[in-house]
Amino acid sequence: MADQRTFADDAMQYAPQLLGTALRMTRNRADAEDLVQDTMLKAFKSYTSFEAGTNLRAWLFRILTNTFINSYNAKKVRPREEDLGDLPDLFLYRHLSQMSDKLKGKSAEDTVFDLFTDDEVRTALEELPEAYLLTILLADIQEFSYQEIADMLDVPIGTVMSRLHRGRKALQKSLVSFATERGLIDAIT
Amino acid sequence: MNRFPAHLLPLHYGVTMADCDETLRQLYAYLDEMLDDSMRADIGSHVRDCPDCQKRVDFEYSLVVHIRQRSKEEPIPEDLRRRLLECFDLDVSDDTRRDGE
Repeated sequence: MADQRTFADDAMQYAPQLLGTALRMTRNRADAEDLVQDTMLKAFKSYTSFEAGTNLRAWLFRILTNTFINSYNAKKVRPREEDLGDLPDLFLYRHLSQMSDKLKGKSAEDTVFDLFTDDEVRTALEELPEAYLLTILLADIQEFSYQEIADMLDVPIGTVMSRLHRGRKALQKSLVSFATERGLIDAIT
Repeated sequence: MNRFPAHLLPLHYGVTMADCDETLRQLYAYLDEMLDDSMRADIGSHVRDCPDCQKRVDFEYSLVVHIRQRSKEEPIPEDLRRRLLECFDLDVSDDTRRDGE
């Protein structure tokens, strides 16, 4: 059993990660800060039921995710999953062959860095349908395992995998459209 | 979904050698370290020998790392830190329910 008196020492180290994720979830700072506060308050109140020695970080993210789903997302309009249609794998990579001369001959790392501004990456994430956004935030950004994410979202592991797969493709589609707008990738024919 | 087919192959196929198509199908599972040992070894050895697949793997990996670095953490502003620490000073027997709970 965890001791509530040590909660601040144990949990505060994860607050910056919770806030980073909350910002992408809520898309605004005031809601994100409230979401982190709600999450921490719930975690604090139920900390005696947290099993010491298990994964505190995963437990906090589970509370964050569920608090967001239950209390914050209703007021936000996002695209629906089925509106995305079917997309090929490696959508972005396939467009690199059409890349302008500005990016040719660079390393993968430099290419990615030059292709997208921070604002574009943030916008592409925030425009994802919610189920894809949550899965990508937990898998690609916070590096939880498929099984941990399945437990947090209370869905089968196969659902996590397919949401991640489709979510990454949708993200790449947005990034391609930004790079195309800036003339870094030739328009898709 | 049929993303991890390695264990379904008949044993007499022996050691399989992944090709580009197979590598593309397994690329994310490979990057996510979700493949079983034999499939990971197959894909890994193909990627080492195939410059095209190496470039694909490098690109997808770089993209995920790039996105992660920009969203993983956000510094906690001082006023939020104070609000959080005040929450933890509440009387723990206080069972007042907040809206939405």
